[in-house]
Amino acid sequence: MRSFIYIGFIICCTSCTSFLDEADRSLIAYDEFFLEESDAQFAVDAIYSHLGANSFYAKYYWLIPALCSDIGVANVTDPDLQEFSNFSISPTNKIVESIWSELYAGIQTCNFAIKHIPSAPNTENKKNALLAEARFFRALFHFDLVRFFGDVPLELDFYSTNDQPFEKARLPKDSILSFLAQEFNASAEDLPVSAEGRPVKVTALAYLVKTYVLLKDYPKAYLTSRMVLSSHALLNDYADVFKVSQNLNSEIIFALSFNRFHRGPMNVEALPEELLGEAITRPTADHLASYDATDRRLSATFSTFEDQVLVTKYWDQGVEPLGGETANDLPLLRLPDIMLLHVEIINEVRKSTNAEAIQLMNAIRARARFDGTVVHNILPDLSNMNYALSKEAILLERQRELAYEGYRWFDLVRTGELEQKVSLAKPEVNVSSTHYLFPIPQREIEKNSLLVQNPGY
Amino acid sequence: MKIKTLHIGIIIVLLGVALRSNSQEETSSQLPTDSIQKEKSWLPNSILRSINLNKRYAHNNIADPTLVNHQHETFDQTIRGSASGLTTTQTNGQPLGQLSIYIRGINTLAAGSQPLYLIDGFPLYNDNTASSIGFGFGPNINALEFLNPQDIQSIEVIKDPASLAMYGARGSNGVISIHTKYSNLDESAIEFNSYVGIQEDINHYDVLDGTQFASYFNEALANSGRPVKYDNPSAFGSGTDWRKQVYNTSPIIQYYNLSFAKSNAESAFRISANYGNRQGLLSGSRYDRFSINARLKSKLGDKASFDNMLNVSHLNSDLVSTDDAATGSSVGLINGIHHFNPLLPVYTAEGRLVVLNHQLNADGSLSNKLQSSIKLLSPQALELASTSQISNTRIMDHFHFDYHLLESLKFQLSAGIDALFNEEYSFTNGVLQPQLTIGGTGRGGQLQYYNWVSNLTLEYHRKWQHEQAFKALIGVGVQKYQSERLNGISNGFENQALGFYDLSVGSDKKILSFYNEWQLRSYYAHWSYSLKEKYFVTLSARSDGSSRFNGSSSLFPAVGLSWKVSEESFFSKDNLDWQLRLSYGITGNQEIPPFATLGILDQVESPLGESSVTGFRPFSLAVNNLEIEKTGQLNIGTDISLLNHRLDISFDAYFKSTKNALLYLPLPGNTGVATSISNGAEIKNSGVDLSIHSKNTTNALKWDTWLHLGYLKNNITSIENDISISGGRKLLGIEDWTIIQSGSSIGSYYGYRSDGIVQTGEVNVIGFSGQDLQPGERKYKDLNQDGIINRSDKSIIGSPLPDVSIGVINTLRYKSVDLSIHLFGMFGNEVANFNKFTLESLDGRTNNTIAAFENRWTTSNPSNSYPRLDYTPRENVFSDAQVENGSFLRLQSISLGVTFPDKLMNKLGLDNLRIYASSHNLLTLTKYSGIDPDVSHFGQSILEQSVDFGGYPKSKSFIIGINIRF
Repeated sequence: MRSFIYIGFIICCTSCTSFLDEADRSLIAYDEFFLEESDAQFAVDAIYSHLGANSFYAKYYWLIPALCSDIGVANVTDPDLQEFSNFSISPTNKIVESIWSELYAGIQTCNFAIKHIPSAPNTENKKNALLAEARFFRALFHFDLVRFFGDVPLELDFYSTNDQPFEKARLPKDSILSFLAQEFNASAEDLPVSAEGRPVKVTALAYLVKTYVLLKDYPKAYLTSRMVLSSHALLNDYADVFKVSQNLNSEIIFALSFNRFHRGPMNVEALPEELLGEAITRPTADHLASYDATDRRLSATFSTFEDQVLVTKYWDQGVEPLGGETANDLPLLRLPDIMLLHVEIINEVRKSTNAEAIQLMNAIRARARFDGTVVHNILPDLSNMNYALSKEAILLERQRELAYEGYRWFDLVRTGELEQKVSLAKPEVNVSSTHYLFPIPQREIEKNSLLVQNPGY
Repeated sequence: MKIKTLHIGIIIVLLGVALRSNSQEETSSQLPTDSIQKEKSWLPNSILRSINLNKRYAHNNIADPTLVNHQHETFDQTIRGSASGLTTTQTNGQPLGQLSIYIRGINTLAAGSQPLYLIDGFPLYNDNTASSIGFGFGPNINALEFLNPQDIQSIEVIKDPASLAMYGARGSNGVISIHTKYSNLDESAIEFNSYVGIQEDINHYDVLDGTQFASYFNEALANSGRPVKYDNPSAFGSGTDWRKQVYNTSPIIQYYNLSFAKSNAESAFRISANYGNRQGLLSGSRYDRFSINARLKSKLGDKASFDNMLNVSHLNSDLVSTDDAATGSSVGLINGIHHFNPLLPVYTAEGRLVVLNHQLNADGSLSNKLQSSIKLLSPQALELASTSQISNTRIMDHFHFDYHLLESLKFQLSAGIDALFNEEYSFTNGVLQPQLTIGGTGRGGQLQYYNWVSNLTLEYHRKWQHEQAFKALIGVGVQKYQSERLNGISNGFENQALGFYDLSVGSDKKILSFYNEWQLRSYYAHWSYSLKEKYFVTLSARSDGSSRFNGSSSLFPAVGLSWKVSEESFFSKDNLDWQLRLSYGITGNQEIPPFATLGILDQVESPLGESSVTGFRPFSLAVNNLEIEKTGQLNIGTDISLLNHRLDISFDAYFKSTKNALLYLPLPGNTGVATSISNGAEIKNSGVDLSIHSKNTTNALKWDTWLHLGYLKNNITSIENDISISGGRKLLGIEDWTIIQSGSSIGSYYGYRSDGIVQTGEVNVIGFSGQDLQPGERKYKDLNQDGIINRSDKSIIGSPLPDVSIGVINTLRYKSVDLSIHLFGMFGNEVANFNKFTLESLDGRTNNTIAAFENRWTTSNPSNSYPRLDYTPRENVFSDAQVENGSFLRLQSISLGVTFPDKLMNKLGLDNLRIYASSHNLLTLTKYSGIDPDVSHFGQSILEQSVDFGGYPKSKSFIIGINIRF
């Protein structure tokens, strides 16, 4: 009996050292990763989850810059959307909070890959290509943070434990942009020439153009954008650009991928109730009036439902007649953006347009005349204009061409036209220099004492 | 019944080990009859018995009438109102619905808050995350369903720090100790118990019928400047009553139990077989439940003995879609019943099933436009086209083996296993997914877990006449839980005939699997001493090492003192007993999810091009230096017995402080991680518990009354960095409707303060983001007076925790007739009634209550509580207009029985025969406007308590039953 008891105590005390270890067999801890070759690819592929259906990009990227401008208003009572629409954005706005936190979450995923890939068991070529992809996205997320918030913390390290210092101060916008230019440049070196749905060399170069333009480094922007222009081409029909069958067409420089298994939310937000949508935005009368009645871009961007005009740009009626979630891609960067930026660069350098610029403008206008069968007699070819006229013409063409694709507020901010344009379309709202930046989320200031609010908020 | 002998010095408290004593008291035949009696020699379990022998601690035993006379589905329901210091919520009315129980408040913001249950010493929780794959429709099923209440001998609620410290890292939430029945007669017996009954709903909303709805819609359209839709609303008659479509009429409930028992001086056994069946109020919900409970104990010679409990159970249940808390979904049968367009027919004239909430054209055809922007499905379609099933098979065995090494030195080994096999399936037919070209979604999953526990103890006791007694115990214990889950999700069924029975038919399939485990290792010691049966001291300490905290250990000490004042010589009143108690102890809470402290990666799948990619991304930070949550509790109590034990009073005051309470602390956004678990909060709970038992009359009419009263104050005293954290899962577009901040109580509702309705003539009333409000709209207070209404104007608008909870039990017996009445109530709590958003929307979209429609604001009826009818959609604003007083007093159960006289029974050859009639939930007194304030849409979630939204309705039952003993 005694020996039985003795054995019992032994059983209870054995494996004392390992009994309380946690065996996370179906979970992967940080230090268990990057042991196999596939892991580096997994770490980079995870970045695409920050571009998926529930991401800031899918839900808000196409929408918020339109609401917060002269082209669109919120069609629902949701105060978070209304605040953009009527320029009363509060630091407690949920969407502002999510832009901040989701972009930084994406950056963290990139930093995880960038930190560990160098020591992964992959070939140097593979590592360089994967690192370039991760660095591209890290730069893209920072780029959008800077455009929304101005000075922001620059995050280049991976946070792995809870006892690190988390508080970070804002860095000047221009120094971040200069760094991002280097990053886009460097990733362009190692990105592939083609890869379905992924960023390629030209994608990085296109964002480099946009970065140079924000830095007002026009000579470098000019040279870079010429490289981008030569590698993409416009489709013949504007309406085809947003067809499900044309998901990765020749004028898409970068897009969020959606397909029949992973659908995007754009139409749920844009379409009316009978098409399983929420009809959350409608265009301003001012914006609708900017189009000629037969402009292909008008009918490809908007449709009339009973008493309201709604955004149907991402609705491929032939393929998805019932509306709802869509298999359509969401373009983040399209060739016409770079074409018109190229015109803008020329105009900023020369203080007027030249033949090269006018030819780009006219190519965009010419396409808009074609309605699929007939070429309408609208949008006459332009000829050379002075600085002010071309600036106005470029902005108007961008307004019509890129409506509800995530451009308008950025364009008005970049050109300094925000107050003037918005007061024409929305005379009742009070726009000021405050609105050239979004507020830093109040929640972030409470958690990070080094953050200082943007002026006016 | 009152055994005066004091078993001094036999004080053993010990986690998970029902230490069996070999002394003669254990075969006592007394049943539990008194919730606060001083002697508990009937208890089959020496540890617990010895704690209670002198009632030296603040415990409650569940009164006998509750266990015997009221046919509860799950045993935890018997605890409601039968002990003081408990806050309990029956979260929904689904058959085998889950309860949430807090003992003496809530001490945590991130860890488990439910008490530890000991089933004959086997420790477990009422926790669905560990025991359910989560694929069944509707809310969670009660994880304690496996044990039939008829197999339970006694339930004890343990609240005192001196005893709880012996439960170490799992003691903070209190302990509920259950003992199964064994034969306690010195003879053999066969018993048969059975009841059958019917149910009906306790209450429901009266919503608009067809004619009323058509007028309601017309007026909403007209008020928003649109043309009216129906020229002749009365042509629609009463329309479709969706409730009648999916309610069962008088669903039945039935139960059968057969048990065999035998005992003699050497051994005792009892085997009991149960079968129960219940149809739910909602068509398509039902269950069948089988269980067998076997208890066997025997002496093995002079020195050894053993005691084994085996319970095997199987549940098979059909579930319906009601409040799926996990998804915060606004669809479901009950929401459909409440809000679906009553003008719509179940089938169109062409015989097509109506699925979506269409508008009806004036000519009776379906419009393409939907009536409401909330994605509602026809209740009838949902009932017909979706199915869900759960099956649980659970085996539990726990045994104790005692061996006396010496007369005064005892060794005990105890070990047990709890194994669960859970399967859940659901199928949603493609007709419910009209937006998909190939629809149908099938889900199926299996979870199996093994939970085993083992303890070894050595116990020494010694007595010196009646002067002094002494007892010491040391022990070691281990427990391990391990679970595996395998789930399949399948979409796009070309052929839907097989439903979830063949998931391989779907065109888009996904397999998920998950492994989980945790371990606990403990060392404990206990020492007790008594002097002259007047002065008692106990000291105990337990050290728990937990895998969830990287294996780190914590120590939980406690001390308890008590003094029997009435035994002193200067105190010579014979018919009075008086005792004072003082105890202090530290308990812990380690109930965080396994792996919560690891920095782990999350598997994500994202679209890329025309297919998708899988990736792994950082999910959580590795957490260093996390500690098991520790709660210090001071208890001061007294027990008084007056009038020759006709009146027993027990009173306790407690003060609990948790200085390192766990919470998910929000991190700055630039870290990319939303939260990290931390010991960063400080919480205090304090209150008083009062229990009274009075024998009002003891002559031919025996009338007993029990009263249990608890008062509780819960307060978060500080949060790391002094931040406030808003929360609450998104529901109807509303986020951040609760808050954690210092100075508030846990679960506080956070929203706007409403300010009535804008009346005609009022101008410049500001609304959200600066909009001007029109007459007839609800207005809100600009708390910070900055001229606009936005999130800065939110404040705390209520608390779901009751101040006072009360239970009153009355039993009367006159000759062969017995009557038992059980009242239960909670006071001072608020309920967030989210049904109001839809049932009082007054927007012509969702159906509304008749009361809202009739009392709506119009120029001639300047209501200050309901807005005007307007088709323009309104934003859902969470304010005090949806937070209601949730106080209630309920007639929990009432039972009337007749026991047949001995003469007749002798003729029939029976030992005992009783027939009875009883009813549950017969009557509820409350000012609450909804169906029932005793509700929680989010189940046991501590930060989202008492939300009422589309929950499975509660039923009242009327049953008749019979008990026969041969």
